Amino acid sequence: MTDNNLSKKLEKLIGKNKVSSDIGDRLCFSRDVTPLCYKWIDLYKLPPYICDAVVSPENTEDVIKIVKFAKKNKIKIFIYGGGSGVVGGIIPTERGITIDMSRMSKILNLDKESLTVEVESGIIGQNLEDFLNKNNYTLRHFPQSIRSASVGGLIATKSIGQFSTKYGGIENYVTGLEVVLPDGNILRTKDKPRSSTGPDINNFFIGSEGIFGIITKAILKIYKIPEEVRYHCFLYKDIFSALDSIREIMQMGLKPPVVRLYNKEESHQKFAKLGFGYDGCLMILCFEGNSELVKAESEIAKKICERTKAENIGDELGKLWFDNRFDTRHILEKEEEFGGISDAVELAAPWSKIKKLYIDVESYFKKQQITLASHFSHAYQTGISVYNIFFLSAKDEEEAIERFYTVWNDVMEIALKDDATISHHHGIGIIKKDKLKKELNEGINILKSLKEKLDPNNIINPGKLIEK
Amino acid sequence: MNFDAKSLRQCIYCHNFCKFCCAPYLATKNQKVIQTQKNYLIYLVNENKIEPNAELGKAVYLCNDCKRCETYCIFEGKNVLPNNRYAKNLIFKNMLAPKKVYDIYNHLLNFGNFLGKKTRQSAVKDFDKNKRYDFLVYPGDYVNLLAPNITKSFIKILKKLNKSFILCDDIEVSDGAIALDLGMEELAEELMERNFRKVTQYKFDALIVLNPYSYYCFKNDYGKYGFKFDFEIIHYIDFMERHIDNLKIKKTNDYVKYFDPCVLSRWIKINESPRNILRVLCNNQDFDLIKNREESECCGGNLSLIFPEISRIITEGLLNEIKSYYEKTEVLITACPLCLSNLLKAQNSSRFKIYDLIEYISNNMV
Repeated sequence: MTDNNLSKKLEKLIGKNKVSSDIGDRLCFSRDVTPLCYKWIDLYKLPPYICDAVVSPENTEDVIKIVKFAKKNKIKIFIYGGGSGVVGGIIPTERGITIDMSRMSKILNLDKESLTVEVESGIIGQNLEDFLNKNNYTLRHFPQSIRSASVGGLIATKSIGQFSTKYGGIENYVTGLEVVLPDGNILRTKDKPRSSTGPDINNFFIGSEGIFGIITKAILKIYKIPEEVRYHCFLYKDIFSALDSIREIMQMGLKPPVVRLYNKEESHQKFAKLGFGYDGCLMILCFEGNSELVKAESEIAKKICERTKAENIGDELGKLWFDNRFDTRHILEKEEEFGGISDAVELAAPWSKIKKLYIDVESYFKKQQITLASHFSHAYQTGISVYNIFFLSAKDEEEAIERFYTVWNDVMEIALKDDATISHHHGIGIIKKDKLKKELNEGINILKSLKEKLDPNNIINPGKLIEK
Repeated sequence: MNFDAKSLRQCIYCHNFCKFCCAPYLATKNQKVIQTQKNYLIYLVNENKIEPNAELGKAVYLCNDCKRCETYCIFEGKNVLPNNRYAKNLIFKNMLAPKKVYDIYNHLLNFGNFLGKKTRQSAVKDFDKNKRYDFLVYPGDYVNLLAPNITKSFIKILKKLNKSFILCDDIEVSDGAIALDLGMEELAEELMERNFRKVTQYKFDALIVLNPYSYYCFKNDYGKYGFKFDFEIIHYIDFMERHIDNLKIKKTNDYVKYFDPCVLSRWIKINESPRNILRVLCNNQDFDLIKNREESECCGGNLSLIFPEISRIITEGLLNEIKSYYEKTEVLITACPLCLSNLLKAQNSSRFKIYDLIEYISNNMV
């Protein structure tokens, strides 16, 4: 089918104003914020694949029509939520059409009694949060991408938020979903607090990166605006003592929404401009909610930290962190450099294995003479995530891309060797999929079987998560 | 017109932190409106990788320069205006802008005003060529054509204050602000030159500007094109803040909300002065909307001239929010003729009254 014919048929199917074959649209919807995309811009100006058309459904019926049309004509579909992914989840990997979900952004129901909100999946996270705030509620799911990511994209990626240690990842928010399956059928899961009715069907789609279907609606938990928010900052001479404190806090059952521990390099890199003038590792804790509980949790946490010889340096840097939490200039400025590239490798491991993982990753980057800044965040009773931001310089963009892949390959191998997970919250996309088999073992075959059953012609988001 | 290469690259390489706050994007879901994507496409045009087209033209003109993106930009001191103007100029010269842009161009060229009004609204008259006046009052295009009551109210106040002034409210020579913002650089330069000659023929101590767009243009653009003023230029809000205590005011019990116009809050950073004035006028002093000052939402801006239906969606959304979340509101105040005009046009109920701040001061004078 020629591009022109394709667009005409799609226009006939769902309406002229919902289809675009304009080169500008096709280019915009063929890139996200994966570092590779930036290097492609400098090298080739254009992405490797440009979608043949962009379709912008306005309701679930439109999505069903598009999927059925694509299935019948064996046309590949890529799904674009907010374009904020960093692993290439929306990038076309072959010819096909891109579904832009942005017009499906309505807030359908605010259930003040159950504390849930039902939305169409194209709504941007921050727009939802603003709506909730105006009604004295909050999502408390604050990923760094909240200002551009769509709710559907957050679910498909299995995102995490900066306040996750208390509220959990997006999987802890989803109580119901509407999904258009690859055969055009519609799945609506029941909104329920919990049920013992077999595996949770929602979980087949949370983190599915769009390969099992297109999420069109979601019901999410919400919270009342916390009565009090309190920050505490501590300075540690060494990072492992601080990690021990976090473990104790988590295993005691405290629920700080924010737990962030920066190594010396990142403490300096990120906070020097905010007034951090110490030689040590900065730990930020936050407690929020009912004032009496906040006070009690804060006192217990402070005692734990002080027992491990941490210096209490007040609350100011915590507040400044919150105000500046979107400031990723140090990362983006590296991308802007010719031959420069930076990225974040977000790993997670059980407490018993995290220190070795940290040492191995740090040693690797030292050996490669690549600058590394790391922090721990998103703590659990059983382990923690470590966020390794690397900044590498190469002689040109081609070498930067080559080294980028080498770094990813090597660090994922280290993670696998150390029994860590290769992705805590960015997803797999096109960057990490070669290692997924090692990560999941037999689990990869379950995913493949599911894909085969649901989408035998590999129509929806091909080339992502798993190789078919 | 040159683009700022550093700023362009910052936008292309950014993670879309401004996407959620772009009113024209949210109203149209046109991905090309967002700074990241728009700048990427303009870059590709400059690199001869794509041809500019009318679709890009539409997207470029959907940006109304509200600068809300700058509030949420992670790059300090970001100024998107140069690249917005560059993009519009590129599109305009290639004849790819929406038709209404060329209508405005022709009106400015032939009649000196963006509406193409032929009749002389009022010429400068009754002034003594040998006398030095306290002020030259310059309403500016949007006030003259969309909100002339602002001028009437201000004149009433000046008279109460016993100030001598010349009123320069003819509509035959635009100050060039609109032309510049719409990418018509050559015409803007011509208009600025004519306006400069007009304004500098009078003798006065300070120029008081009623239209904030004209104020910004006088303060920031005229100099760049070689037109340097040797007198003080004041926006009327600054003037009123200095003189409000000299007026007899009857304090009101109205529940007043203040909508920060983008051009005041983000372009020229006048945020506290309107509130200080309102504190003198009102007993109830909770003026802020949830999104206020630099975070203030968009009223539609100059989209009302080019894409009125999209502008209306934006303005109605704003008014509906105010109705839903601030039930007690009786008066909505703004301080920009374009905001006032857009808000009044979109107001579909009489739940609250809408005024420019100067009208509200004038109404409450004893």
